[in-house]
Amino acid sequence: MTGDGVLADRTVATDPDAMLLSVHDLRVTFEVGRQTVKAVDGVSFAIKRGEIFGIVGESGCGKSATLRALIGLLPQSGVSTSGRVEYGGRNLLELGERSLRRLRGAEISMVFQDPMTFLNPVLRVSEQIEEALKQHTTLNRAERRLRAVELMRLVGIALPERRLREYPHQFSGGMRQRVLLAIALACGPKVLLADEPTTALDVTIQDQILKLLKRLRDELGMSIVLVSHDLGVIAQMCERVAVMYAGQVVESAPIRELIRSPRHPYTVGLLSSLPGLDANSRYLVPIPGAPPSMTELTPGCRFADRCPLVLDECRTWDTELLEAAPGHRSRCLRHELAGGGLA
Amino acid sequence: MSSLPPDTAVRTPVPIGPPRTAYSWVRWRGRLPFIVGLTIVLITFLAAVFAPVLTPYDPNSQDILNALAPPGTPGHLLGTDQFGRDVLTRLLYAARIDILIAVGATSFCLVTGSMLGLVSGFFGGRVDAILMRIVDIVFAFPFIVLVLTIIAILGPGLRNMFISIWLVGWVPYARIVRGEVLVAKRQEYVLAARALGFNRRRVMLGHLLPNVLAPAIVFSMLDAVNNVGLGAALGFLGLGVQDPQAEWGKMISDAQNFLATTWWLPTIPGLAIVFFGLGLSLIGDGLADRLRPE
Amino acid sequence: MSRFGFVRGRTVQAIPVILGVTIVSFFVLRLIPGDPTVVMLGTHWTPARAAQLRQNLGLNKPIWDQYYLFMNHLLHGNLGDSLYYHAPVADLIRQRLPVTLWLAFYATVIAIVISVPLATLSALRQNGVIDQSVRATFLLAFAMPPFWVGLVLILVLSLDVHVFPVAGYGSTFVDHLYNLFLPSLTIALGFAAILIRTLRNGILGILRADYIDTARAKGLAPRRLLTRHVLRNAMLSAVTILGVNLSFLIGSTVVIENVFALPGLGQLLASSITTRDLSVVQGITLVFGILVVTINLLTDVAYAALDPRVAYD
Repeated sequence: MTGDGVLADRTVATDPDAMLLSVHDLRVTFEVGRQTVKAVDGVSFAIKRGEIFGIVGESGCGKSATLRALIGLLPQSGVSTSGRVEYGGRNLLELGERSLRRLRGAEISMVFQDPMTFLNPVLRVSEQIEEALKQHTTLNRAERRLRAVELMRLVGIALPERRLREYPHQFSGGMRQRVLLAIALACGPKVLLADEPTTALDVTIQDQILKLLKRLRDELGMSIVLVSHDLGVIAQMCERVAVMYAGQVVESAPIRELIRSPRHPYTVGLLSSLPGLDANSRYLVPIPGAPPSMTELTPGCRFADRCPLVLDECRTWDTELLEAAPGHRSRCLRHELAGGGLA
Repeated sequence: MSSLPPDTAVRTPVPIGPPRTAYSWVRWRGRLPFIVGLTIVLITFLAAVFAPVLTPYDPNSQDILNALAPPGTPGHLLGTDQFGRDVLTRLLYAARIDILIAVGATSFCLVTGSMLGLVSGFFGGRVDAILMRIVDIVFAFPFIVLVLTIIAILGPGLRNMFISIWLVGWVPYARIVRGEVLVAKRQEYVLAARALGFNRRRVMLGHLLPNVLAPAIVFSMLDAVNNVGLGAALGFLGLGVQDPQAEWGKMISDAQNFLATTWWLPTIPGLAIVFFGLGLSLIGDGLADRLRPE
Repeated sequence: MSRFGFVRGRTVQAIPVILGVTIVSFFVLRLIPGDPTVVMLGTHWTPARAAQLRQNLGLNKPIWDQYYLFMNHLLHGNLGDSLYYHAPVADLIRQRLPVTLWLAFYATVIAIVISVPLATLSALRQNGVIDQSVRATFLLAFAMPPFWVGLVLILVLSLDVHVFPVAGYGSTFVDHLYNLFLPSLTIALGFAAILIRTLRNGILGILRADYIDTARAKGLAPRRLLTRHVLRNAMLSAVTILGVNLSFLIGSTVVIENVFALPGLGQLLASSITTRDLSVVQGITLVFGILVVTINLLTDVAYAALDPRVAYD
């Protein structure tokens, strides 16, 4: 049951440091009525095998859209995407729907936020897990059932044989999320995309699910892209992080470095608005202002209106990610000043 | 300045709406059905009002020698029926009856039903329980069966038809409005008004009413179509309008025996019903879109 | 609370409604303005007959006693006598009920066959050509009075082209299918107008549901997605919609039976009103009421069978 894609049918030459999935300059644009929304505007990142990569940002910053764009799960009309998403030597954005379907669930899986609405209420859990298997594998019915039981056990659901026959509404919130995970893991994907998987759960359950995800990564060697607005969750789980704001990545770094020495005023703001994360802060300091309207974006830095370090130059600068330190990039002209001493 | 922590600021990109040019193409296109509907109803109304001006004939004057003339016969644009009465004339005068049904029957039911629903939903308790029982029982019968039963008791005729529709037609409105009131009662603007000490009647009329009536008004358009159909059906069965009055349904019924030879006689009044009904439906749809943006 | 409990609960709720139905029917004869015997006997009125009628119906007794008498008769299957046919009302109804039920059932089947595919196609290609034309067509269909549609169909398919018979019911099963096709189609078209619109909206809602995202993320092929996820849930809304509109369907049979001269309850009702045979009217009203309540109950049962969440309401 290793995360080798479709139950280890394939042998894949693995260089542990090679990038499993790399995203280059991803752009997603929505046409809503007569307005154009650049939900994702030039996002790039890459993940290694077995790595947990985090994307953090507030609602509306484009992180969910990014995730969905990777496997083509955006709405079918009024949306355009561009850029490159490299996986297995191919650009996923150029793949047709049929090829993408072969990928989804089998190589790259996704779990979503609210397990109640993301499970079909009229189908049994067994059906919902087994149909993924039926789609991507050649297992027969008995084998599928066995595998479903294994999966339920893997995600920590007791009495799996009995619970398989039940319906989603008969599970509690945390259990439902485990079911969603079981579905996602059914065919042994190499990458798991997790879109706010714990946001709809209470804190104690949240913790359990996160620990489960880590365990799954350890046991299966699966990579995880974890998206959340909660920096605490990200800090607990991820090795490397990208911070998104208004459709762009504004900072990316290994997690410890991000917390210890953030290099973008927005990240600093995020850190200081959370209790306990930054040992230096004594007060919770929210960031004044609000994100820009995504339909009326002005050139220059999008954080300018809320930034304590803003200069006139910032508003006309054609922003790009600058290298603040090895492996640590920031979309801020004054990144040396950002971080430390601002809280 | 907002002091919300960044992770709770919700800023979903919401389009502001079409550009503000007053007569942009998009806005017109969306409203087109509504305008067409309004035009249709207006045309029907004007045709009915100006009937005496539009045709020289009397709707009841017979001309047996010219009976069953096809459309296009000189002097009879739409032909004549088996008594030689001009079809066009009868059609226009019939419009008066059917418009009367659409407006008179429906508006009464709309008003009484909504009032009852409002009171019932707002005050609750005994009144509500009793009313809902009545609603359930009325809904246990097909509408037409109830109307027919009342006509059986009172006798056929236009007046009794109105009475029977009035007696049972208010029920759907009561249910709709009551449902809306129950939802709206919990809304914040009602609580705010009551917190400010407005007396209940004022709250009810001033605040609840406008919001709660919208679905009822939308429904009334469809109900009007149904009532016209009902009136026509009763006319068809000989239980509505009586001879020699002209009514579209009755005209169709009268023509039944001549179906094979004079296809236009039953078809034309039917087209009139469809025309008028379409207008009402379009208005209803347009209102629905307007009052409940998706 | 199990599903059985749900059904039992609904049944219990239906009882007061049925009671109300009997009361309404009861009052049919008791609310006649003036002397009911005059109306009922019409030209055959004689003092002796009037007295006899009053005796039979218990019109001289207090209203409670009358109701008791009425219910007593009812529970023994006695619905009074038809003054026109000189036969028990119950017999007349028994003869004609199957025709009406046939018609209603047949119409429902045709309506579903028309509506489900069209609504699904409409929803899947929202605002496409199919969607717009379906909506426009049925907008028009909604405005068409069923009796007129029936006549037009007769005109076109029976008189001109001789495909279907003009009237009558036929005697064998196949005969019924053949004879009842046009009237059922007529009713179905009007019904489909409502059904398609509501079903389409229901399916659109389902397509936007989150669990469809999960299904897509699993890489499911569209056909599987459609049948298992969309249609299963759509069936639920279809059952609800049918249930809500059922009384309308049954009401449609009344007029259509008259158009196509079918020997069902509707035709009997219309003729009995004309002959002021009010006992028959009373009986038919009662039967229709009970029919609607029963079918609504069956719809609730069907819904409970389909929706696994029901038991936990």
